[in-house]
Amino acid sequence: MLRMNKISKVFSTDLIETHALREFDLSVAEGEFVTVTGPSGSGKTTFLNIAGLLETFNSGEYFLDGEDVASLNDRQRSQLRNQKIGFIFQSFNLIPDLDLFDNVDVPLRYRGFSSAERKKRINYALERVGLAARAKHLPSQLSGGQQQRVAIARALAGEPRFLLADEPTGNLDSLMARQVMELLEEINSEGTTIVMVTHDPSLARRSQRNIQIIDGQVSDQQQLAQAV
Amino acid sequence: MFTYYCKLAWRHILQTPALSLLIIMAIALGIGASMTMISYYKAMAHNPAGDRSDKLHAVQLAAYGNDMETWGMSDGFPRQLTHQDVKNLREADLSFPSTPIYQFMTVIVSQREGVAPSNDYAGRFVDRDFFSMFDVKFLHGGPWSESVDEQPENQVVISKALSEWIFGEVNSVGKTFAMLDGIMQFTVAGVYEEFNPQPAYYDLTTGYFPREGAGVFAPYSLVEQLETFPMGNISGWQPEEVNGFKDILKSEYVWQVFWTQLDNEAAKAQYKEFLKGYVEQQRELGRFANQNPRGDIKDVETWLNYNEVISEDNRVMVGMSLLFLLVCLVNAVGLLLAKFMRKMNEAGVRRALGASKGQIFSQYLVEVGMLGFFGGLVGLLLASIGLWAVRELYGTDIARLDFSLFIGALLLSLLASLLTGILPALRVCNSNPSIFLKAQ
Repeated sequence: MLRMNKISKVFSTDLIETHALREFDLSVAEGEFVTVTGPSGSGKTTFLNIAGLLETFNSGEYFLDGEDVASLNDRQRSQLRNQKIGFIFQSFNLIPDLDLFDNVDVPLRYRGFSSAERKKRINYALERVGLAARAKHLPSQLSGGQQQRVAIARALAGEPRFLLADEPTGNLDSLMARQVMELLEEINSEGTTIVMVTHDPSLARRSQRNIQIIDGQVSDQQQLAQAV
Repeated sequence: MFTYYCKLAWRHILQTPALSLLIIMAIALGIGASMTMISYYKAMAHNPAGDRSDKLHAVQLAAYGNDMETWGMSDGFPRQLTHQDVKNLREADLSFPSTPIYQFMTVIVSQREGVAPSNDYAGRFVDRDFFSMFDVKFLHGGPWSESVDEQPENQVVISKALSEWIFGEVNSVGKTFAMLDGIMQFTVAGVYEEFNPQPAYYDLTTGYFPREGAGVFAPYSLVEQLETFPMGNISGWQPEEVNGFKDILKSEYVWQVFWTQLDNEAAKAQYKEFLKGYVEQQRELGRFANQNPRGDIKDVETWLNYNEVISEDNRVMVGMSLLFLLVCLVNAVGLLLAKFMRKMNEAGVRRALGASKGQIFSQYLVEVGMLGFFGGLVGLLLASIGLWAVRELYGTDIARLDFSLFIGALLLSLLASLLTGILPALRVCNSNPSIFLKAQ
């Protein structure tokens, strides 16, 4: 599903060059649930942004679902991101002035679906996370756990094959974190590939494989369970 | 996607009402000021002669003496003519339609009950050709007969408004009323709808943009008989003893205008040749004793420019108003940047969810366009107020917002706002979304 060969990413200022990723190699198979851990500043988020086509890299190769992304222009990368990738963020990143229905609608708008198709998908996605009854509520009217479930519904509405989660339980209490994790596991069991950055070792242990990043390189990989 | 962008734009405008209002007002002030000046300029720059513009010609003569180097306008011609010259030009053996013009004020007595005589009606002495040359549209009757230009008769052509004021009806052809001294009777030969071209190119000596046109036209052949003093500019290049109207007629004072219709180049050449001969003839009679005696003809467009109907000040004002628009737009750029910076997070989320830079750019440009549209509407309101002030200030009836200016203002506002919005929209769409996704 994802293959990175010798990816390097350098952030340059006038005074200093920061090597966020150094000859970073990683492959993630279709249907796998991979967690990424590492200390702050190790390059986890840079890896996630490159994987999600939000940032470019300086050298190396990156194939997403067999497609070489280095040669794509912004429009093609956006299209690929819209069709194949779902994002879940630590701080949910829901648009505060849009109700839940319209929040879930955002990626579908850029996909060019008809109004009826969008409506069907939005209702299904919200039902899936148990929030269909609150479709007309604003994010501020929900708890943190509920907001993250809406963000998951938004990520799922376009039926992506690849889900990128950046510390999705970081802002939640343990009960809500467990609920969100169970939801992600359920999604993964249906065949969606998930790569999740986390600081929580207990959550990392629940994935099939844990990758530790230190100084922009994969320092350790642990096979924890058999992929679905 | 356009309707989706419009929906988002409207939502964003409502979310930041104060900032949005400031942006709208910045655009509106610029549009209001520039459209006021452009509308005023456009009205002044209008040539009401249309396709007759290059056929109608004002005649000028450098009819001064005493070996003066120059007199009158910058080209050495006075704008008006002496009565002697007008009389000679009228009597010249030429087949071109032509007419002299001078303005007078008259008392007119209404025949309706309870209506007091009015003494503020403007009239003009003209020849019969005036009505065809300047395209006066008749409702009833027509010009006086050709013979009246030679054998004076007390006939007049009056406006519809005047006919209604005197007789209480529009069709007053054949009826008589008292004019000038309030006793002398005149018969109505024709009634016209309204004649007040803006600018009043046919006679610029009494104001460029009169609120009301002439109410009555009388045969020029009556001038010597009626001895009606002109209402307008009278100039002279030498001291003269003038004790009455007859003295003015014989004087070298210039106070009338003379128009002739020359339909082609051959006619123009023929008339110029005639003027040359006329100047020579007058010189032999002891007149035109200046160093460069000559005659000239100017078509309507040239005549309007020559008389500086649009002054340099007006052009400067248009330029200043456009500069003011630029200043307003620069301010709007700053306000838009402030407004859009608050939406960086949302733009980052949208990018992560599949929006391309182009789509984000379009979304924000639609919002700017919507602000520009509202700015244009408010600007039109301000321009209407500005034009009302101009009309009140200068006492003219020109400079009103017509449909073309209405559409022009909205297009200018849209174009200006879109240009203004390019930088802020580019800033938003080119920002790195990952920074905002993590920072929120």
